[in-house]
Amino acid sequence: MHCHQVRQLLVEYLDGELDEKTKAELEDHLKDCEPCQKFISTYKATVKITKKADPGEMPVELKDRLKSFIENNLGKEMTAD
Amino acid sequence: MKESVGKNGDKKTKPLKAKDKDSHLIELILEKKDMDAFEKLMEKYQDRVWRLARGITRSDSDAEDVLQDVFLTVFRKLKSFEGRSSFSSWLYRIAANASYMKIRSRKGTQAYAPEDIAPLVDKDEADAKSEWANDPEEVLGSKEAVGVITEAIDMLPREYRAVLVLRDIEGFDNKEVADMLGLTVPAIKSRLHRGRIFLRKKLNDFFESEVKNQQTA
Repeated sequence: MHCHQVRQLLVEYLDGELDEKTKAELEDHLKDCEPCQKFISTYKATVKITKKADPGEMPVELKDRLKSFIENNLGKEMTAD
Repeated sequence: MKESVGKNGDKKTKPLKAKDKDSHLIELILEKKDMDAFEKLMEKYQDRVWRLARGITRSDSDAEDVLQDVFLTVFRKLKSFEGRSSFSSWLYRIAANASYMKIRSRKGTQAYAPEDIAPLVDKDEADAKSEWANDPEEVLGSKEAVGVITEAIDMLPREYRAVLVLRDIEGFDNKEVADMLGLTVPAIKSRLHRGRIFLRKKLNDFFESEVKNQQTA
């Protein structure tokens, strides 16, 4: 397996979706390829840092506005049906 | 609460499972026009729908528009919900689709088009010099590093951004994301990979500049 192939398979590899043969070939390559080892570790770290970039909790004032919106718009539809 | 009859003929009260609770609320909405039931359903899912919409649109006002659209759509289409998938899957599909439509309808140009980042991504795939992955946890998870990622997500082509947010931030699997966005699983994997490579490049640039700054200090 070549470096380029290894990098193309990273999504499946990290999701544990590779078949045994392909996984063994990839891991064989990784043992001897320092650039790929570094690449995969920075790729994994990127995924890990991305998880921290979440938008947080929904603002309370937005919850209030949504509740009013629902009551004003859907309450009428509900009774009109 | 549901009642069932135990071995001794005594009635037992079982707590409803999440899916049963949704079904119960949906029944109340459809059969009794119960507005409180709709509000309960909305309150249960509004946080997740907002996170999803905010993550994809990257805008508070767009996310609010999406949220309103989603609950209007759910209310009006609830009769057609057949229960083949769970209510939550159906709802998230509507939310992801509405968010995606919102960013597609936006006027103006996006930071990068998919064809613009392709060479960047291909070049970065070949670059494996960086060693920042071994940096301590507090450096990797620092405000600055997360800020770099947030900015990079904003710059991603919308086609990649929706996939990356749903997979790597919201934690849906490839099949779920494919269903939500009406794409194939291979297309999801390809966009996810390219999105991650783009983000990795931005982190590389950031950590390399940090090292240079330390050397010159």
